[in-house]
Amino acid sequence: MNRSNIILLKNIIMASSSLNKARHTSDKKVKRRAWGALAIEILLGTMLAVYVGITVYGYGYYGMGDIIPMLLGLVICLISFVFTFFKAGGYLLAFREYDMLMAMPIKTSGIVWAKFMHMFILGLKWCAWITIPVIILYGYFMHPNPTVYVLWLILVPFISLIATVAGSVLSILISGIGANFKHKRAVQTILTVLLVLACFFLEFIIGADADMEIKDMLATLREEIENVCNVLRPAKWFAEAINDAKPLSILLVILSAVAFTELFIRVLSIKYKKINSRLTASSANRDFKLKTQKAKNIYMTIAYKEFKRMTFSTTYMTNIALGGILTVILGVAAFFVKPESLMSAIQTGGTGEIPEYFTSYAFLIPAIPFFAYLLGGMMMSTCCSLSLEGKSLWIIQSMPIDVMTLLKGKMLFNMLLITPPVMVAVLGLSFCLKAGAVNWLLFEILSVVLCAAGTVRGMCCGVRFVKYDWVNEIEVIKQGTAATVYVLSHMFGMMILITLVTSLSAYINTALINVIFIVAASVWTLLDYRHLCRISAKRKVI
Amino acid sequence: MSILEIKHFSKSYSNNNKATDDVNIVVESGDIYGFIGHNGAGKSTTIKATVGVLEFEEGDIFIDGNSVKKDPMACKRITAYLPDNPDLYENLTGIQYLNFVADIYGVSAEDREKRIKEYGDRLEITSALGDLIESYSHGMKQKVALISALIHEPKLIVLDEPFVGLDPKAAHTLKEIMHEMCERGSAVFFSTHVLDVAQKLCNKVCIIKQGKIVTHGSIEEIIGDSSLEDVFLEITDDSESQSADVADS
Repeated sequence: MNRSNIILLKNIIMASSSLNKARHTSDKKVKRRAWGALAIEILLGTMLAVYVGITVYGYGYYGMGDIIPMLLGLVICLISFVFTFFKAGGYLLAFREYDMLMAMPIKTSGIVWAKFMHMFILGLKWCAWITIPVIILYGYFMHPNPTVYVLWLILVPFISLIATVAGSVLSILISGIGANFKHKRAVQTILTVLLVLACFFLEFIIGADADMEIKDMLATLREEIENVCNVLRPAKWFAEAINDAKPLSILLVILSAVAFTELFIRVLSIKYKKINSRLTASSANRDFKLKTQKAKNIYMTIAYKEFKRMTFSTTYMTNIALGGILTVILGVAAFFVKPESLMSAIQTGGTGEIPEYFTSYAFLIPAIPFFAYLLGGMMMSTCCSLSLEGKSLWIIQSMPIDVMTLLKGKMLFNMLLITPPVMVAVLGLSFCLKAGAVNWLLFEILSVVLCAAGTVRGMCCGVRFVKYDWVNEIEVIKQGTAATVYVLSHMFGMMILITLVTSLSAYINTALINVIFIVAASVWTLLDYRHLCRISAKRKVI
Repeated sequence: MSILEIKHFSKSYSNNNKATDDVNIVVESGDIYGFIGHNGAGKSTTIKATVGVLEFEEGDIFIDGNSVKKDPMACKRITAYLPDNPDLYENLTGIQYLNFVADIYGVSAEDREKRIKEYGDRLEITSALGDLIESYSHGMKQKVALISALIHEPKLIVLDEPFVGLDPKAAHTLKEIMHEMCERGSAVFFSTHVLDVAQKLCNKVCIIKQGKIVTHGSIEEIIGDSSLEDVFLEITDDSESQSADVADS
């Protein structure tokens, strides 16, 4: 670690800090946006802290407080890994200022180190949000020695560092493999999607058996956490360091983190220029012959442009298209799954008697379109497509295209993207749960209306929280306020609707429930569309 | 007949610095109008406001009689804009981008094919149109952006530093295209730092300094027996010394 590396890291942090921008600008809008982003971050952090806190409280309440450090270690590893895996390619490779930095008298390893540490520091704040409530609850239940708190605060960054390196290694590997192909982005996207799908199914396999009491469920989860930690040793060492203050475990956490990081940086530095050169090189044939051209209508041309934008970016594809892929898998799998298996996957162990109606799978039938849409509508391209115009915004601004025409084209693309997978999932689930032809037809209509509602809602979020001055598209696609607000409202909204519709189905005919929701969702969509027209005119987004 | 009229245009940013102050410019049909000024003089601000990229409150801008404020669509339909550093859609190929622009402007399939072929061949970029814009050099992007600006045969073409990054042959072709457009009744309004080019190409110029127009008119009236470079340096030096005098007093 030398002086120029520290200077570089400091400047990278400042250059990407919206608070630094707010401090040095006199533009009130920029200042407001920076404070708004901070407020959203605090809100999200608080929600995360509450969620983790509730889980940890359960363990403490049932006398399993000793598992808390292990659980925290795992959660931090998971969060650091996931956050890094999707970001590392864009942060560490082929970034905008690459040429400028590589031309400076700074060693390649220094540049890699500074960029990596920047990414690590950004992830650390989320670990802090989780760690603080967990430390408090651990102290409440376990009454440890005060030195444990100090040890905890020292070791958490090292645990996160190990997972950050692991996420970076996988991400760089995928980028590196893709760089060797002509269609590098397609290869990177396919590899990323396959890896994410593998993780999803892994989680499904090691998930708790649903048919038990809470205490038993926690005990089973405990066993599984311990099993996982036997593989992910750093989390186990972390738990041993906290629970038993084992000096060896403390040393292992710190040394393995430092060694892993050092090794990663050294190895990447050797191949760094080569990988970057391959990634930034584009194959060009220069043998085009002009043939007959076709004109498209304005909405289709905008939708096509959106399609090309999405397929150009691994980050965008994995975020937007992954939900669709999972939805199709759900729909196809439902053709082969028995309704009883689906039922046991959804039911959770509760105390008290469950009414007879809810012990059969019939109560799930009215919720079919909502289940399908919960997955398929997880992320809308409309949340970020406006912001992704970025530095190319001048093209749209200087052309004779009004804002609503532009937004309609973007919404058309989103509808074409999400509606077919959702309809496939509805078909599969209707078949699995024997919903009947009439119900199935109504479900398909409702699912289309829900897709339209989500598309418009996503667009409203995209307009309301538009951000054109991004440097890396990850700021918009993964970290953007629009995407966050949409995803949270979607998840909570769907959970509420699923609960509502399954409860109502005990008293009202399924077909009637569907008709009511079709009408309600249609009205909601129209009102939201009017709202979109108002805010896009008021905000002058183009 | 005036194609472009900028009337009392002033633009201040949120820190109350005036980027432009009471700018008045008239560009007539057939003009190649040079817009000259030092860095930060207000050229890009004026140009961006003209083409609808930048909002403004004071003054108005009329393109072929239509107000940019009140009827921006009508203005944009007959205007083309080429920025100094065109950030195009890198995820599209050159031909896909040109088709996108042509679709927005409603150019028929036959017309776009004819124009893409004509300008693509003249700018020697046709063979690269099948490749992603991401693979283009700056000059190639300029060429594609230029074709996209010409594809709908605009009445007014507004260019910000158009010769930067163009090879000599392409620069020569651009000058030819500008002349052809003006002969057809269109007008060209462009900013440049390359005063030799402005002197040879333009029939009218205006010089802007610190947001204010310091002189404008036909090229012959402005330069007389001297060169545009000498006139520019003299005017901008005069302006500086006047400002210094005012400050001293």
